[in-house]
Amino acid sequence: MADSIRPLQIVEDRVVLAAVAECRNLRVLHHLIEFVIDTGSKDSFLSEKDVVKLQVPVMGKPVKGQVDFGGSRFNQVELPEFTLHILDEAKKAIAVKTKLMAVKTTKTSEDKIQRALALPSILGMDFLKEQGFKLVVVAKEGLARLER
Amino acid sequence: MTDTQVVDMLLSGQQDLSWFNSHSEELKSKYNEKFVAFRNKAVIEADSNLDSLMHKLRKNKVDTSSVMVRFVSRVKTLL
Repeated sequence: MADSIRPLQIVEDRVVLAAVAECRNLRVLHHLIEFVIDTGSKDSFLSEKDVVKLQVPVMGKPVKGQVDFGGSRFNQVELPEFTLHILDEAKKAIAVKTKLMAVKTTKTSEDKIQRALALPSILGMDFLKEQGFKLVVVAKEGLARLER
Repeated sequence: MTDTQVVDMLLSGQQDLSWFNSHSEELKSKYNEKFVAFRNKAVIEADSNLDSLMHKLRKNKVDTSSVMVRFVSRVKTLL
């Protein structure tokens, strides 16, 4: 029988994972954040909002390309590996290691910067593939879970 | 942080997200176009500017590691 991990919730019609993020290299010890599970995204990102919340230093870090996301263009900054603590079916914490890119808007107007800050962090197909997770969503019943 | 504390933090976060989801219309009426910090099924602080919001939380000695922050808007965002 597959292991079932049920930290997933459907919040405002999006599949959301609550996680405690940790990255000692960035002095992020244990910080509660949410990710949208987005199978339309190839890669996983730490949103600009969460960069601010976690106080991740990205200023002056080398830009590793650009990405269009949520109608806005962002510079990508490579981050050290994160550990995400998530709940399994038995409500025990399990730790998964994952690569995340920080995103930083290329916009300069205050209004567009605030719009860019509104976007959520994303776990994309890379996360599902690397972790060997299957994503199960029963939208009509408001149920979502990861299995492996 | 112990495993038990991590689990408590995750359970609390899940409950807060459920609360947010079930109160989203009310929150949109009250906090449209604002960043909202919430914990224990209640809004702690809100501001239209994220930096200002985080500054207020830290000034008030709120442990931001266990707080959820979301942007509330009546306008839907496409990812």
